[in-house]
Amino acid sequence: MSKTMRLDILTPERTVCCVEVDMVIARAVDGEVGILYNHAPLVVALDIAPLRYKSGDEEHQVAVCNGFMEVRDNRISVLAPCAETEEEIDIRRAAEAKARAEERLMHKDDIDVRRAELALQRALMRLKIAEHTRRGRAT
Amino acid sequence: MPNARDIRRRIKSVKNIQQITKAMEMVAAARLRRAQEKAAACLPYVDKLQQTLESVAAHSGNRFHPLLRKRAGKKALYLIVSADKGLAGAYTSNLLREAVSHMKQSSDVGMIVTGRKGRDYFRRRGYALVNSYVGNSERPRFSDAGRIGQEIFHAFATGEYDAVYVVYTHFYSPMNQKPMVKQVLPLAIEGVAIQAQAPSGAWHKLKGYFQEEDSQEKPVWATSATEADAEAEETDESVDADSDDTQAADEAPDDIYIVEPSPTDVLNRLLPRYMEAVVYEALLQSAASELGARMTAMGSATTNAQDIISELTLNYNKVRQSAITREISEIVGGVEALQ
Repeated sequence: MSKTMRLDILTPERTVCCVEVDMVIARAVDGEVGILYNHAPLVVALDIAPLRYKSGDEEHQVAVCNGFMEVRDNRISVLAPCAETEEEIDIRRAAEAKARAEERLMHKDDIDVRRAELALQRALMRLKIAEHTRRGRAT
Repeated sequence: MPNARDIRRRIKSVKNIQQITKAMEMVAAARLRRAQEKAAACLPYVDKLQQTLESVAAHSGNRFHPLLRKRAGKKALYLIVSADKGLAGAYTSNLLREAVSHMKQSSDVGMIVTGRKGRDYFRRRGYALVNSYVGNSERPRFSDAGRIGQEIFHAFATGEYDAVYVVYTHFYSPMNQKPMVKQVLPLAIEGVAIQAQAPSGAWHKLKGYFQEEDSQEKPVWATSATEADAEAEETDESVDADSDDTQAADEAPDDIYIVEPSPTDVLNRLLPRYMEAVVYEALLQSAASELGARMTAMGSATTNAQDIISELTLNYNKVRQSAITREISEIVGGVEALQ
């Protein structure tokens, strides 16, 4: 008998996913947090990092760029400017974005370094998730 | 009476206009559906963000955070969300009337305008605009909202302005839209004052989180907390255990919140996001309203054109008939004259 929690991932454009989960692991700005059933009410600011959730035997990853996670009454809401599930990630686009960001950082003359860094971080996160999914399928 | 050829020409031109208005109506209807879907899709995000912001703000105490505090100054920044194109009935004039009448309340006003119509209106009247964004009123993108939101947030955070209002058109249905003014910053949070006045036992547990911020306000918290304790003890005696339990359960999720890294830090991150979301929602609502207004206006223009056409056709037939009658009587008259 497992008690599940409801996970909603919301972006301004759409509701990315809405599932029953057993556990959520996210990376907050000051470290990883794991959420299990009956967690105390919580609000954390998230980093640009994969958010992992387990439901049953499956484990999934979602790309989340910054944003927030709120936990309350066994309902987890993730609010982020952009988020994608592992199936939705466009590997080619992420790779291109990575190359572009790296090139910008290489010759940083008059560009916004902070922006390029964030773009690079997002691209790396997406590639990491994609890699993880591919390896998961191969085994 | 105009001759038959003139009337025929008029009918033709009205028909052409009707074709155009009909096409515009259909285009607006198709885009409206998409705009409505988008507006609906962003609602859960905005609602939840606002909720989260309110609960975090309630726990850090809105008087502590400089961005939530009411300011003495009267300098107000308005974001006016208007349309790029006309032919949408009274859409733009309703919106601008609302904006102008609200802006009279503040003596010192700054304006950021989206949409060509609004920009041109204020420019013609010699207002100085802080900034304007044009070209995307029908299909706003989140990145636009992000830029506008950041600009507004920056202006407010640096203290350049003391209040921020958004003037947009709320979409109720394709036939019904209403211009609205919404105060965005400083955030008016309901419930914060109430919680601060009647703290429950949970405040004790939370105290650790407030230690940095509330040092200067400590006496207030200390006294009110003790009062609450005294009250809690009284209710313990008078009310049976069951109802007390449910009361505690009701209050618990509201009062105990772990906020990491710290309420102030989270608020600093949340507020720009909130600003973005509010702007995005206003843009989407206005886009849907604009398309709805245009669809309705073009629909009634098409019906009007139909009315004019049938009236003109009636006239045309009358003229034609009388011409035929006259010709016949002339022929008959000619024949009689020959005999």
